[in-house]
Amino acid sequence: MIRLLKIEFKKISGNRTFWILSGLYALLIILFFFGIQSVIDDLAEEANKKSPIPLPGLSAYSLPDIWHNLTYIAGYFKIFLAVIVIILITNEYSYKTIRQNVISGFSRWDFLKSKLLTIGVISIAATILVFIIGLILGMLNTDDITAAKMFGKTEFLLAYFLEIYAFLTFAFFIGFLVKRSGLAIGLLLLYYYILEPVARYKLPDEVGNYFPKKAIGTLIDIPNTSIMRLFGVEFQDYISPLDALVVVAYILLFGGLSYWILIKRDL
Amino acid sequence: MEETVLNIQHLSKNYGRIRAVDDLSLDVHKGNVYGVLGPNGSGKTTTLGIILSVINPSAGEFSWFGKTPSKETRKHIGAILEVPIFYPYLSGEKNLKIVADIKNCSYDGIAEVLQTVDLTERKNSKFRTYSLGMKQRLAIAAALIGDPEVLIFDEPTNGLDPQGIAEIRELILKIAALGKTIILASHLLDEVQKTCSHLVILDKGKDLFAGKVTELIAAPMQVEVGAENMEELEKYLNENENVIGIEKENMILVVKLKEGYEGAALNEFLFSKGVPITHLSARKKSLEKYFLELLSEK
Repeated sequence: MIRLLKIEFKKISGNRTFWILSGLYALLIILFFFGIQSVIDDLAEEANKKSPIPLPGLSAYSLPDIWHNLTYIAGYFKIFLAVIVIILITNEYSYKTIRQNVISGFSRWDFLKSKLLTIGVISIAATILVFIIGLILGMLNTDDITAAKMFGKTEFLLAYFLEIYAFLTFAFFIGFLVKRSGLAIGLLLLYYYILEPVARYKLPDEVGNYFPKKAIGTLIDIPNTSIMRLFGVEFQDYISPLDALVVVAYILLFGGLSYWILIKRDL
Repeated sequence: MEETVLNIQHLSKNYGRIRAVDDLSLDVHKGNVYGVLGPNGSGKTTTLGIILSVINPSAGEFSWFGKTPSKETRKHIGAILEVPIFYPYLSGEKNLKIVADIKNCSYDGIAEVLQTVDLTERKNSKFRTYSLGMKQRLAIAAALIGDPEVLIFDEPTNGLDPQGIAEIRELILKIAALGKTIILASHLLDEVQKTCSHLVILDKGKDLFAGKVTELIAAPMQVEVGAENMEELEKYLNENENVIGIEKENMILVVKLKEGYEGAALNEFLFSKGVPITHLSARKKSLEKYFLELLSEK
């Protein structure tokens, strides 16, 4: 396993596109979360002025709720990571290096495993990034910090990791299937923003909720803000084991399909 | 008995209705240099792709070193298929390190193989900046990593200039001298004739010939004969039992002789019959001629 990761790291080490895109992703997330604080504060102030009854202050960044809020919002940026993963896998096809890897002595399973491990590392890195941002922002915005506050609701971080890993496996599968980066990215965006939302619109929720984007995306549900509570809207503020199971099932499905294609296909 | 390195049995590969490889059976023995010849599209690369486990056969099987092919058997094979394949944004040396990692062997041999292919000075340059000849040489270096028992080169001189071709040929001869088994696919007959001890000729996925190069070239001796009176010449040649074939070609006859019967004896025979000849020369067949003959025979 370590050996496969070492090989992957060598492949990636000189890949400028990968590092630039990953750097941009990190920058985007950091700027967004640190920048949005003032926006939320402004919004809260606005809302307070208009509201007939005084609203409690919005506590988006206070521990431990921050874990839920942050992981939920960071989920929107996962499409960016998906593009990176697609580029990583389609490169192996466009350079034909997947073929040479097997000729040199990889089994097809070795190849797939090395990629799934890489996706795992990317997901862990993304989770650590959110964890660090959450820790800093949480400490700045929480009055009396206790260990219980700090590490309460950290199951959202685990769920975030699962969400990212599942989504990246999905992206990997698409890249693997069509081999070409432009086409794969196009298909992913088309599916993500148009196909699945349209299909879900036509279908009842009991079916639609199990579509990949929806199932993976709602593992962490919308955080309940004070305003929403006022209107009586209540979202799931915990991670349901059943939801997590569906997400794990998707990981197995897309990983399994990729393996099946890899075995059947001539390289 | 020679040790069998590769055994292929009834291998076939279909692409839709096209049979790229058609019921091919073959044995490759240790220490020989095999030339795989065939026109474009004859199934050379497909066959090599199958024995390297990157193309799934439609039927048939093969074994390496008497074992079922696996990633472990592949670690004892060094191969280039079609074109040199490397990560373009990595240096030559780093690319070789990846190959060494995959083969599970140390980096110690890298300096040596770089030296062998004369790329030490450029080892830190990115692969994409290499010339075609350098890319081919790096591919040979990669194939040599881990001291494999078998080397497979598919068109290693494709697209090279004459000097580059000569360099690669020398390199292959050097490797062959180390006692390695080499399988060299090419459509450059001259190249195969100069480097290989054994030949496999493929056409439309079938093997037309498999054996030693000398076997093929030592086929019946051919002599060109010309005379003032061609009719008389032909008549007497037909009477000679050592003549096994006569073919008309422009103003001469091409005569196939039995083994051991040579041009001098033929000259004597014709002289004794009172046929003055104006032209007599032994014809050495080039591999190319045999190749074209074989292809047209079917």
